[in-house]
Amino acid sequence: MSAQQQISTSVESDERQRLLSLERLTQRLHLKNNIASGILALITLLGALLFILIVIKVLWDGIPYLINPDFYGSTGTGTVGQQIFNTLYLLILSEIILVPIALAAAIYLVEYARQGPLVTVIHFAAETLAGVPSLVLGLFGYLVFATVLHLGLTRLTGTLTLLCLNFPVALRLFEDALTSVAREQREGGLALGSTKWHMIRTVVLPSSLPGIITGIVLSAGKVIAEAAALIFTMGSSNPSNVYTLNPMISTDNLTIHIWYLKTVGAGTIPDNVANAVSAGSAALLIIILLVINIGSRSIGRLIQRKVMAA
Amino acid sequence: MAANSVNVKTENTNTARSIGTRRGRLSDQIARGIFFVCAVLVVVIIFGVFVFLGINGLQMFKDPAARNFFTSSSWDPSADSPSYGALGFILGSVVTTLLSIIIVAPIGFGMALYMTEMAPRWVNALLRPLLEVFTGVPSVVIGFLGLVVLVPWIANIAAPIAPSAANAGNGWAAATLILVIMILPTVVSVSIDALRAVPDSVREASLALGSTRWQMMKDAVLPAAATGLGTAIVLGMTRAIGEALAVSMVLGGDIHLPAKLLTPSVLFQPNINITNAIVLYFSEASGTERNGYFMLGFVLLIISFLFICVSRYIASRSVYK
Amino acid sequence: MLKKWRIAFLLTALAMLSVFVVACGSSTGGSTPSTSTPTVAAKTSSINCATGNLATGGSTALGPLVQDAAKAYQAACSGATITTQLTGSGAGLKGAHDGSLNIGSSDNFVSLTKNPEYKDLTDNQVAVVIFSVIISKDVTGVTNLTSAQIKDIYTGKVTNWKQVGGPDLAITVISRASGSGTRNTFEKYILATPETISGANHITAKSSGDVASNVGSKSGAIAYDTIDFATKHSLTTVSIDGAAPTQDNVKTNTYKFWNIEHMYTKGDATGLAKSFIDYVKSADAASLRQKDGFMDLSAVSADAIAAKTPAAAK
Repeated sequence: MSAQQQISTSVESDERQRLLSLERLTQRLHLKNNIASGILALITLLGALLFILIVIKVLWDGIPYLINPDFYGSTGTGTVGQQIFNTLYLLILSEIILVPIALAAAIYLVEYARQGPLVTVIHFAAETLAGVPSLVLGLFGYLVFATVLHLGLTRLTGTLTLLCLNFPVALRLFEDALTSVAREQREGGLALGSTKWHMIRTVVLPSSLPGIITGIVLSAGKVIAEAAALIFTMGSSNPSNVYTLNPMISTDNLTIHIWYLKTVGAGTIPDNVANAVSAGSAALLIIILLVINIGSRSIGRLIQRKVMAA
Repeated sequence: MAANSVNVKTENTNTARSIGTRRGRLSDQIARGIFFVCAVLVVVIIFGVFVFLGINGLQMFKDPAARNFFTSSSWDPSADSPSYGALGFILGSVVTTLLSIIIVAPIGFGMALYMTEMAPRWVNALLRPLLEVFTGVPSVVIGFLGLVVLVPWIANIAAPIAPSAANAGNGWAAATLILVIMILPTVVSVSIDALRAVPDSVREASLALGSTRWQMMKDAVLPAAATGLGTAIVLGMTRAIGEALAVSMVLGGDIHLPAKLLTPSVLFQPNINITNAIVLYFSEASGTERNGYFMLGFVLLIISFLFICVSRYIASRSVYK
Repeated sequence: MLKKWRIAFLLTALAMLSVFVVACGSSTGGSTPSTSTPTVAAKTSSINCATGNLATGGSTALGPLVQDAAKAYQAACSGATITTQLTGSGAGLKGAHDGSLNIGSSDNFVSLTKNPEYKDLTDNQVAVVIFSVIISKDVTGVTNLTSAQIKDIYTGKVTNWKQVGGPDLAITVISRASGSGTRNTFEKYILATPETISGANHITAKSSGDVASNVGSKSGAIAYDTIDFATKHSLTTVSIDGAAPTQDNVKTNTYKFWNIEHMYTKGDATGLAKSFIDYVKSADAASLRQKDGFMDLSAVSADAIAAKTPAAAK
């Protein structure tokens, strides 16, 4: 900018001088630009390296255990078969409860509610709930589900706590999915004389299916990764037989198991076994999350293509 | 697919129009009611969290010994004359949160700037999924890595200045670095959204005036995205202050603040914060002490609530959304 | 399409319903053991099998015995599901009181002066546990500590092993959290005062196992733990006031650092809870008690038991 001003006020006799200083200015600006760009690139490189190194470290330490089939057994101390089952069980049970409720709430907000104080309040509540630390939700779950409702430390208590944790996240993802359905499609449905609920069932939900699936998969990632909300609500130990659908027993899962082995349960099994199990479980979790994050998008796209084709 | 279902619908209506509509209206009403209940459930849950934690937490003040909750840093519920000063825990959470955000903010903004303004496409294609994975990374995985990699590493470096060489790796330094890993992805992602929200016209105008790319970023894009970047910081802090297990695994402290707080060595010895205290002692506690941990949880809740309010306020002032 | 959606909705509704039915059904059986009836289906052993869900938890010192007994019980009785949370004695009592656990195990008697609300808990004594003071391998030449020396260490007066006859090495003091039954026993019978140690050389371990693993890995460490964890981690135990942590010394109460293990229930134990507690105490489980380093209550002299029993519980 200053360069342009300088040009406009240039004096004939100092033309060469000015051109020279202008060149110097440009050089300085370019140097600054290059230095700044270099620094930004370096920061990004270091940041990216940090995360890539973490992934490599976790996989490097864990994969030797993962390729051993004994690791997935359920007898002995160095196995995580039970924890994998518990993680899957918890995932499915919490999605069964979460998806209908969050989807219903999203349908209300997108299709029925008029813009007004109620919608603002609900959105504000969801945003606040999303910001509540999961440990605090764990305390809440212990207080309300485990003791006030007498559910005890059980899978069900854990699931209900996870519902509180994932509700706002799933709600927002589902809302986005529903809003993305074109207005013409809805109006087309309504114009044919169907009731609103009928229109939602036949038009909105099918066309927003890709977005809904993405939402489900992403909230699944949160369920798999969560531990802090569960240690006070689901417990950290297993009965002899965890391969049951009974929601009223206390179990752990992969993440709780890692925490348990490195804290309360330290010393109950030899340290090298504990480290092996933790490293293997950590690698397994990272792989699952990588697959989920990459998979959620491709699944969404795949379904979209199918829907369009049909 | 949509077309198919519309066909079905028309057949239905043709056969039994009047009954169909009445039944349709009724089911519409019922569905609407159910949806409404589900939507209001969010409000009920967050209300319940505040009420239940608040009531249980505030009950501790029925015990006269607990009056020093906000004024003392001595937490010693099992002493003959118990003391319930929580300032030490609160200080721990505040220090680690502030240190980590001070480290994360420049790195996060730098990465976001590079990725939105300069990076070749493949960099984004690689980094975006990686950041998304790390936004939801299990905190125990990072905590485990912290225990086996970070803590021994810090112990090696800091042993000469730490008061106890055996425990030099645990403490606020390790907790801060863990938090940096935990919140950096969040801050970068939100910052990227903020920078993307700045319309290209701002960039073009700046470039047209003859700015270099760095001047364009520094003088046009960053100021335009300031509110969004502010939200990124606040959201990062919300995550940092509530982070529990990863931090708890490397802190190593119990209930005591170190004696000398104003020396650098304070970072390199077992230390305390709010979440660590709850994770370690809540399940064992009874009576006033139990309510004390609910109160600590309530304090966390209020702090996160304030953060959310601040971020909403900042967002409401932003020009580009 | 319409049909598919209906089926999907019906299925989810059914799934949710079934979850809640199962939940309600077994919550009456699970969280109140009184309703689960003991089905006298004696199998190979003489266990009086009961069915249902049983949540036990608490003392990490008693943990190995409860876990082993639970494993054996579940192997013999197919309808029983037993979990064991290792969270500390204080957590056991609290869990039994607020209903999140059916059985809360504790190394101590309930103190009604400290927790008057725990008067609803019924005491079931199951075994005797021997604790010991343990030190790191690098603390050489220390085989005996007087209770006064231990007190000096745990109140921060003594900070180097050379002050108590050991090498010139800083003492790393390892404690347990205040709810721990091991810590309470230690404070009551060895220190005769609460621990006041704090600072950079002090850490609080999270469980009996965590104590053992810390003593094994830290230099110059001292800690207190059950004899079982000390043996399993092959750690060095020291005599206290000249008495070694042996069963003979406990029988006569010459060695003071031991206690009675309790499994508290809310009200009298019934159903699965009663059946399980009976099993833990029974002759069938004697080998398990021995394996995990516990003594039978009957093996200890009446005087010794009386010395550990507070007046209120007699």
